[in-house]
Amino acid sequence: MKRFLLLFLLISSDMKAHQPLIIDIISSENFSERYSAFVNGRDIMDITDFSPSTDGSHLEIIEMILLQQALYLGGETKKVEFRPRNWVNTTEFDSLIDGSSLMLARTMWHEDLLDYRGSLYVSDAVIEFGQYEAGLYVSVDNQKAQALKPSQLNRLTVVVNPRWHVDWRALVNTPVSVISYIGPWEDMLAMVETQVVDAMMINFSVSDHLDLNFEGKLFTPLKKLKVILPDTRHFAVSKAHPQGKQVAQALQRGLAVLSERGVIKKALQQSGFINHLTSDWQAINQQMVVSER
Amino acid sequence: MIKTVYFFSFGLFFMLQTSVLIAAVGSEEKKQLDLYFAKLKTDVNLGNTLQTMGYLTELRALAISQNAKEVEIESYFIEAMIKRRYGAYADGVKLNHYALELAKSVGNEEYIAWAYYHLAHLELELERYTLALDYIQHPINFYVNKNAERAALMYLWQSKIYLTMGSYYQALKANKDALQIISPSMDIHLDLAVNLAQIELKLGNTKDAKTALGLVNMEKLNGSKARLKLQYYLASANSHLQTGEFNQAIEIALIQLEKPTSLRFLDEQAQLQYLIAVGYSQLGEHKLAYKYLKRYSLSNDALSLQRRNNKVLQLESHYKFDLQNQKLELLGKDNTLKEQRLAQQEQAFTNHRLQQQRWVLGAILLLSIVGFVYWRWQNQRYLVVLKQRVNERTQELAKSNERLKAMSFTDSLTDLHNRHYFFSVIDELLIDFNSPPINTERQRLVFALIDIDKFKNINDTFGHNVGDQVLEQFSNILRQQIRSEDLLIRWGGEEFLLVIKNVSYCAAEQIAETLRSVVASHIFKLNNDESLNVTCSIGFACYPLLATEPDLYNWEQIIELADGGLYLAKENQRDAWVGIKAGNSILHHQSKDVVKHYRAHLAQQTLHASTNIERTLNY
Repeated sequence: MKRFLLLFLLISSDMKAHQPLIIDIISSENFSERYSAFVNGRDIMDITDFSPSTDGSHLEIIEMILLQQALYLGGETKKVEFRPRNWVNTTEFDSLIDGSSLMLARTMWHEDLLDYRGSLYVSDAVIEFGQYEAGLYVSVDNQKAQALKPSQLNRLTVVVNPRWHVDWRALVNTPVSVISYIGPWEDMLAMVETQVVDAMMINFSVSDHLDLNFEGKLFTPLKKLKVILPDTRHFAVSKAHPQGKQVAQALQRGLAVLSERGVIKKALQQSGFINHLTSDWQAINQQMVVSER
Repeated sequence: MIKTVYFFSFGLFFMLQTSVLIAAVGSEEKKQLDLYFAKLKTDVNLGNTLQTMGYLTELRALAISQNAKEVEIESYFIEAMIKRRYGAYADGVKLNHYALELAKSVGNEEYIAWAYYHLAHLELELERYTLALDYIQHPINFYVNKNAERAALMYLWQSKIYLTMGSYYQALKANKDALQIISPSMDIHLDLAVNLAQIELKLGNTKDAKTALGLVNMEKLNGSKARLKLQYYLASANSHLQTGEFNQAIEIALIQLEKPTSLRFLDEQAQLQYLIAVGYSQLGEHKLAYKYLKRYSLSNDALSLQRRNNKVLQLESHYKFDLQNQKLELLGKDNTLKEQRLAQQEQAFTNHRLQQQRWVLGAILLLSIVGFVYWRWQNQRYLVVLKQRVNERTQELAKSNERLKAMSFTDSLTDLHNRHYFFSVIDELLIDFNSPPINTERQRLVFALIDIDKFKNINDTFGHNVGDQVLEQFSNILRQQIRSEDLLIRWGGEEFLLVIKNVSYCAAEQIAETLRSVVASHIFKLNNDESLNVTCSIGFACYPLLATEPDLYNWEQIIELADGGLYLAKENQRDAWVGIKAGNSILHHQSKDVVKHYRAHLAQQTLHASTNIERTLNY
């Protein structure tokens, strides 16, 4: 019996050791395909070049890779398995609070996590304050908006979802006229395309000319102007999940190593998230950063 | 903190009142104003601001009647504050602008600062953050080096605006600026500590938030305004929530929610309900979480309605403003158009007048030119005529002159030149002899005086008519004998002067002889068919007398010598000639003496006489 018990324990611990980490990804955003294309069968730890292979936002893919590298470097060597789940938005943490989810493979705004820090392990910032920049994208046909001088920005209407608190705060602190709209991202882009509004705040595209091509419609950022999103972004791990503490600790350690090695910054730069093309552009809400303590 | 504002306002009011009282002692109205002021002070201190509305209008009327501008401004501030508190934002904005304009008109900088402070507060509630920030900067600038506590109050509101805008680091800085200039004992420290905690919570700095809350003096907090207390406990509950102390957080929040005062502050109430809901949800108390989430939802709906109302107000005021602007613009455009039209008309009128003036001027000019041309033409024509006449006259005159001259130079009887002519030409004749030396004998001028012998007898015997005929024929004989270049002058009476050019003395002797003999042999035929023999005597001398010194004897002296010769010819014989020339002896240089005493000189042979008279001449 003793032998049997020992054998059971060995098998179960072995099983536990080889049990993969199930990490959620948002099914609606469907980055799996582009993620698979980018990884292309490589060992995650072998990825050192984060230059994008496709157009469009690359941040989500980079975060999935950085998360795995951090976990590994932090001592969490289990295989990571991504589980697409239907998250309405990233600020609903119910599954993280009750422990039905371990974590989401995306960073989240610190502001959204604040009230849930009792239930979540919040990692160090992956994206520091002031690092997150976005452009004001207008339809290429909207010549009037593109001709505006910085001093005339109060004439520019920018659509934003008030649920995106950080975006909202960023724009309120600029001279532009904010138009609120709660609805799908695609609708907002259509509003810009049809010039119901002039612009929408979007991460700079990784294309050479920064233009964004969405379903055949071309959008371009207002030149020489950018907006800083005034918050930090973090990974959040469930405190209620059985693996939560261990994963959170490993993640924290791993992120520290990556940060120390400069991998995070390199990844953000190579992916085009920290865009060298816009480094000398004027941030129209710069005042939100300068008085940082 | 609001209390501080009231105190300040009434401090100013009191100072003003004192001065006004001194100026108008005994005034009934003054007393009444004073009464109202005391009541206002009490009411505001007790927090019964709404009750002041009952007599505020009267108080203001009194202030206006007594020209107490500052009291009037104060009344606007209080009324605007009440209106703002109860949601009548448009009135609030209007009243504060009255106060601002009035403060500007009396030049009271402090009241101007306060007006901006109130306006900033209003704009913050209307969510016009940029405007609110602009306004709050005025009182900051005014107080920053004057009054620390009031400057801190302004910084606090700046911080609140930033906090509402979501620019947390700017909010933090403004709050720090305020904390740096005050001491913890000041009332405003409480407000700043709570505000600091709220900012730190927004930034997720829970520890710092707790430290800030720890700075709060609970005794002071209990005596402070209800809203500040509520904000303190809300922050406290939030700090517990962020650290996972859900039960404590919920407990604090529930206590505050149960207080009736929380109903007055919908924003804080909603935040407390949300906090409880979030707390319960994390505790797994989903039913309770749902309950408070529902309450939160209701509060939030009400808040949204209020905000929407604010936005509608904003839009309305914008719309009104735009409408007014449009009207003004239209009026402006209309005015401009009218002005333009007027200007155009004036321009057209001016142009027309100018055109007329131009035409008139042109016509005058044209007439002037025509007149001038006509005048010139006439003038020219007249001038031509005049010139012609002048020319004619001149020619006539010249001819007359010529005639006169000829007449004056001609002897009418003999048609010979007279002695006037001789005087007019003698200088010309002598030019050749004026430049010494005269080398040849030929280069001489012979002056010969020819006189008809006994002419008086002819006149006496035959009459002057015959005498004239003799003279006429005599002159003709002489004329025939001389060369064209020689000069024959009727010297006077029966005496003629012959000037012979370029002949030698010897040739002159021959000429004299020829003349004498021709005359002597000529038969003068008279009109009565009678005839007559006439002789003549000739005396002559040469010029110059001395070839070596031509200037020594002038022509007059030579003629005198010739005359001397004539005399000698007459005295010694008649029908003879006598020439006088320089003798072999050296002539005395005094020419006058020589001419005067020519007979003596002839005797002395300093002069030499030649003649056709065969016997020796008597001198």
